[in-house]
Amino acid sequence: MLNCLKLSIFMVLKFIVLFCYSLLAMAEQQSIESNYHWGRGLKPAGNSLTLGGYANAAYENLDHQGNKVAIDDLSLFITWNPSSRLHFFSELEFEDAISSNRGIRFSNQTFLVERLYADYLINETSKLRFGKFLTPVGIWNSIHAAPLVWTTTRPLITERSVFAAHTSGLMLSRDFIVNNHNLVVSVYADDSQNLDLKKNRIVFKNALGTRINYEIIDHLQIGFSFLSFKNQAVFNHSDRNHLFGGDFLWKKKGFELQSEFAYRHGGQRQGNEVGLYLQAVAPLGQHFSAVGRYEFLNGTHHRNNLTETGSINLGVAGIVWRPYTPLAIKTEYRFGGGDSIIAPDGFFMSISTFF
Amino acid sequence: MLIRIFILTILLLLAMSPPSIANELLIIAAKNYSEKHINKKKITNIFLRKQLINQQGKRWVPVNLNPQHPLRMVFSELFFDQQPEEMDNFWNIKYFQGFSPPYVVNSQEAMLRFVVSTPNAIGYVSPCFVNENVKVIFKIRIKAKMGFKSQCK
Repeated sequence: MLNCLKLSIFMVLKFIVLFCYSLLAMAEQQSIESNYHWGRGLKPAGNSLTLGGYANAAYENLDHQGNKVAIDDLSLFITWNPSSRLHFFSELEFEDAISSNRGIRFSNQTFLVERLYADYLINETSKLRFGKFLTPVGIWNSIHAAPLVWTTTRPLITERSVFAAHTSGLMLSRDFIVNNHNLVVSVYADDSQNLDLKKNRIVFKNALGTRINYEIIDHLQIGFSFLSFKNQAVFNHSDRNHLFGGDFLWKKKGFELQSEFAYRHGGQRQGNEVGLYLQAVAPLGQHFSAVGRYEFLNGTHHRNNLTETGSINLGVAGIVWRPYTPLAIKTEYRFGGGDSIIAPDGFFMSISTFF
Repeated sequence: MLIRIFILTILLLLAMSPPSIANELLIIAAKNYSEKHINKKKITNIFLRKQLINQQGKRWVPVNLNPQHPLRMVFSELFFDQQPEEMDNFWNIKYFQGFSPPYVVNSQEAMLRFVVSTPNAIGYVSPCFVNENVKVIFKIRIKAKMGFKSQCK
């Protein structure tokens, strides 16, 4: 078992190193220098089409549960701008492509359609989106890609069991400038039941939501989210849930402070859930940063076909190294959850890169 | 005596007033540029790819100098209150959302050529580089503490 684990760690690291090396080598080749930039994708036909994506390999060692190594994200982006007003975007993802959990296992899933949408720019300030997109609740869900976020683990209150990560439907967004700062208001409607043909694990049956984001000052933004939804299947319960959320993000000179709060009201059968996180990042020099996060969650939690009720207080402490713009190497320790099903204590490490 | 004091006062005021040719950064567009309203916030949004099309529904084409160019650093500080390298994570997020950063050119001469030859392009140069082929659509004073000296050659 130990040899198997060592072999899988070695294989994953070898894959990542070779992958990054080949990207660097490609970027340095004169013949395609103008078309490919590591972390910014390939532009094979002028500038209207961009191909890119990201990959993530992660290792976790949970208390009382053993080790796991996985290439858990391999996403491919296709961006196409056929005209001034039209913008197409798709993200296809191989999730948990290779995993060492109980021996080396190759995923038998094909691929997930993470995002597939078209934006129509109505005018300078208004945009209509149709398709499958990330549910605009809070900050984390909209930028959850491994190279972007500061920790391998995701805050509990942003997880898919609280609200589905994807919306399939229509979204109308309008930008305003208020006191010389951007205010973005979006309203959206979901009909995943009929529109999402290649469904993810947890999806809405239908939903209505709104998101307001305002840059109060140059380096500080606040957001409010509201979502009314029914899930496809949560223990065969189809109560309508209502979610209220608030968030803020401040960042300057490598320092960051970020927080999200959400309250989900799910009726008697599904129960309610409330939680928040507060995350701080500080630069340490030489492209290293320290990250710390406090999380609180209370109520009825549905995870992996199990339900747990109660409250949980967590801490996450870690170090992130970003030696190049598209590359992030993260280590962290999560504590406070004990051996709960929701967030067991443990050590996490990951290597991720845009390509 | 009064006349001497008057003359001295005038000379002192003249010495304190800014030079006639200010140290400025000029936002430029092609000669046929026809937007009615432009301001600093709008320019910021165009360069951050938050505003993608103009009033005529045509796609903006912002163009930057390379990140090491002194004028790029000044532009970045004036419009985004950040140095170019501090914006790497912002552009990573934009890439995840399907947007690329603006085009990059290596000199102000190249910036002029790009703006002249590309419909809906928008860029920036020092005052001494401006010629009759481009339209200056916005001016912003470069603060003395930035230590920027315009080099016209």
